[in-house]
Amino acid sequence: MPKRPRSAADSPAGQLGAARSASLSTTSASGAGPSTRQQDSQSWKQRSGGLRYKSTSFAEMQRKRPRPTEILRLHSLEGSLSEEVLLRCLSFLPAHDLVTVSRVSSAWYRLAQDPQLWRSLYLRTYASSTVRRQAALGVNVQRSRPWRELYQISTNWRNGSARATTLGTNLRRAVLPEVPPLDAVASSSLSASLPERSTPPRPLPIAANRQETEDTLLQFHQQFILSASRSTESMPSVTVHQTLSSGASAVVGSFGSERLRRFYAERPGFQPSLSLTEMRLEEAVPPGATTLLCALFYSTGQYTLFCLTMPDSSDPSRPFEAREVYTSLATGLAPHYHDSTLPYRTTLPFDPVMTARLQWPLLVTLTESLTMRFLRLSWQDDRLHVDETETALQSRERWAPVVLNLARWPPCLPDKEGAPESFRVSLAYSTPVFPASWTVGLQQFDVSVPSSPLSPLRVRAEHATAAPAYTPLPSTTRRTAPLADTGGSSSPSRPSSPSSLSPSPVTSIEHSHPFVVTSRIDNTIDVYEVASSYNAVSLAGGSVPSVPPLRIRSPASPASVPVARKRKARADQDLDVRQEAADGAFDSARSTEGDGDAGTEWQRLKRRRGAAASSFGAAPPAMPAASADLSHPTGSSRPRHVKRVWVGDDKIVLLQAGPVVAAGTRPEEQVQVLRFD
Amino acid sequence: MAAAAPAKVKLSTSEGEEFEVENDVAVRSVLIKNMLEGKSPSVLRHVGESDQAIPLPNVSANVLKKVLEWCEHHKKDPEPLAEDQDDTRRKTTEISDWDAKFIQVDQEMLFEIILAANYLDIKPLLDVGCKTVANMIKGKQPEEIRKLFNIVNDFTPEEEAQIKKENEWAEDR
Repeated sequence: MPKRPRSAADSPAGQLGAARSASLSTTSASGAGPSTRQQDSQSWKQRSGGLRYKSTSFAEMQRKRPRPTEILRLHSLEGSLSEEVLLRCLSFLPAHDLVTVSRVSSAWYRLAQDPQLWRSLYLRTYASSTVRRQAALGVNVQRSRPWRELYQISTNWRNGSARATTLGTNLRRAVLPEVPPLDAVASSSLSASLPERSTPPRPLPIAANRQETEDTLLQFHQQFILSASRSTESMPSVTVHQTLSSGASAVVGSFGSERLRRFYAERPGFQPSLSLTEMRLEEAVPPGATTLLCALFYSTGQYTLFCLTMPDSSDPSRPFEAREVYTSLATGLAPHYHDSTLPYRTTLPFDPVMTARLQWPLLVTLTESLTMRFLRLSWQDDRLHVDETETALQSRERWAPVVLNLARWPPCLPDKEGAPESFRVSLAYSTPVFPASWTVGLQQFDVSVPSSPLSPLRVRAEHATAAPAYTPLPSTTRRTAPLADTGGSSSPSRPSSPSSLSPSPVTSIEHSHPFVVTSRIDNTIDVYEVASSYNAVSLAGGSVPSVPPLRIRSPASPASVPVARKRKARADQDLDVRQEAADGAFDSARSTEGDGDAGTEWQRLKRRRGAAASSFGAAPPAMPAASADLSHPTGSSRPRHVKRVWVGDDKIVLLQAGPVVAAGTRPEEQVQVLRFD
Repeated sequence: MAAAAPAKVKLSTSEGEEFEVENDVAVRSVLIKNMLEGKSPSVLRHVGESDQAIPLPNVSANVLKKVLEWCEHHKKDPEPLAEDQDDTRRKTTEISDWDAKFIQVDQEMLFEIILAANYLDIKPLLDVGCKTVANMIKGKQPEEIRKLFNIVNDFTPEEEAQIKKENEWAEDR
């Protein structure tokens, strides 16, 4: 066999390359005609089509400084590896080496963005074995998703690294400047002799209680955050914030009900205290939809639906727009207003909605008097129609706090055109148990929405209560240690060490199927699991599958975890949440881009991610210079009391009590966003 | 020809040199396997039956010799899994001892082997080569990678800074 002398590895590139057959090596860029180059850049575009670049990314710089797309090759002697082979090489690299590779040159940058690389990295790092198996079989896994971003977000979740943004400086003031106060409008548009608003604002029992603890209503959709105040100051309005890729946030716009403003402007004799009691965005908006609905509910029992168009960074011709599409001006009476036999009589005649959920075509509301309504929405000739004729359901029990959930069940659209759409509505609540304990209950409704607006909704209800887990007898050892909080000084509304004999009232409750998570006044989190296996799809012809009864499993000992607020030198920004056995329990967010089967997978992926994020400490970086902290430079160094936490796909939103500016005033609130993208 | 004698197949390199190898060594290459089984739609369909050598115009003799050495050692290996099902294989860049020793060649030969494995469709050998390249990249700084593969940095300093910033999340392990 002939032996040809081989040159050493460091001999000049391409020296012998010309001798090689063309089918082995990729065409070199210098030799390629314009058509080849174009082709290549096109195929690259196709490959990276699933990626959404951030607005000020390198990709944008690339657009500003275009350069011919060079076909990547490893210049080394005769060998020049094709991109296909190079991608195979890169597929063996972990993420941090892959991002190093992207810094080598523009061609390598392009190669290192390949969605398939990130897809397999994501699947093998963050997906459960089930999902991986399904992915291998091509089941249930959407192929084109922003895999690199998913990987990045998941990594940031796991590492607990987030960017902190504070919205506005003073939410209450930031929310309200756009609309003139009601009184001013009324008196200027009518005569000066109008009576002053005589009734001082009279608080409503639960709403008032909430207002005391949480003034700010928040909703989020993708990178948009809607905030509104519960305070009675003037005509309620909502501010839309957008978190920017730079880490800051900007106000996109604000909106309020014009019809409601006119309603009260025309009725100077009827000026009840008007404030917001609930705000709710449409959920599970199909991907690609440009609009979504937002429902605002007022202390008078009135409500408004807006159709929002969110601005698109890639399309500057589409600004933010809020169209008032439906306003219910009826100030309905509470059903028990005249019923003196009920112990919980409200002082006001109104029955405001205190919590609601909205998923097309169903709006579910729960009012102050615990009246539940299922409202069906439909578009009729470009006008939103709300069917309010459905029978309301009412409870005579007292529940607080409650959490209302609404989701498609089974979680996919009906296969057949014209088949009824089915939803599951659940109401989880804490309830006292005689003599001095408490537990968690769940009321579940399966709602079937027929396609014909003439046929009524069908509602099937089930109920379950967990066996009380906490018997506060002195002989019983506590299952969970109360929090060794805080070294004093925390909020006066939350006594840090209740006596061991007292029941532990629930301060908040969240339900993300199949988990119900409650937090108690002693800063302990309990996790309940709902056992319900309604998997069978009900068959046409009315045969009802036999369903095992709904059950709630009480927390096993590891499922109750104390949550400690750490106090460090700069404790005002430190939040440390420990989440141990509660796999996925904090996963209260629903998929924003999930559709049909992908939604299920998303949930699973997220649950997996929840498990990976068994412990995270979020220490946000220094606040941006424009934040509220600096506007109160002399403010006390007391820790920011976190009132509420929302968890989204890529962010945690914290509602924090701000510093008390003056004695006797309510502390202002501040919203901090921890972003993992 | 005696039935007991293993079937042989002739391969012809780019230089025209002919190699005669056992059938079960040659079929590690899916390309050759398909040709022999007549699955290949090409004009070479008849090669299996005839005495003619299979021309491999993209492979030189010393590379083919090296590739056949690998095939000979791995001729008893089970068939590799289908492409999409072996995502787990990427979990590790570990290479077996024999393969590691086998792939201890200069960079030029390494690329030649990778190219030949890609052309001949020998997935496990291709992975040995690609893993070796990945191991060369691993843990290195961009400048070291450029030096290693003779790559020109075409970024402006601003662009470099921007990409570094974009990728901060993946660092600090």
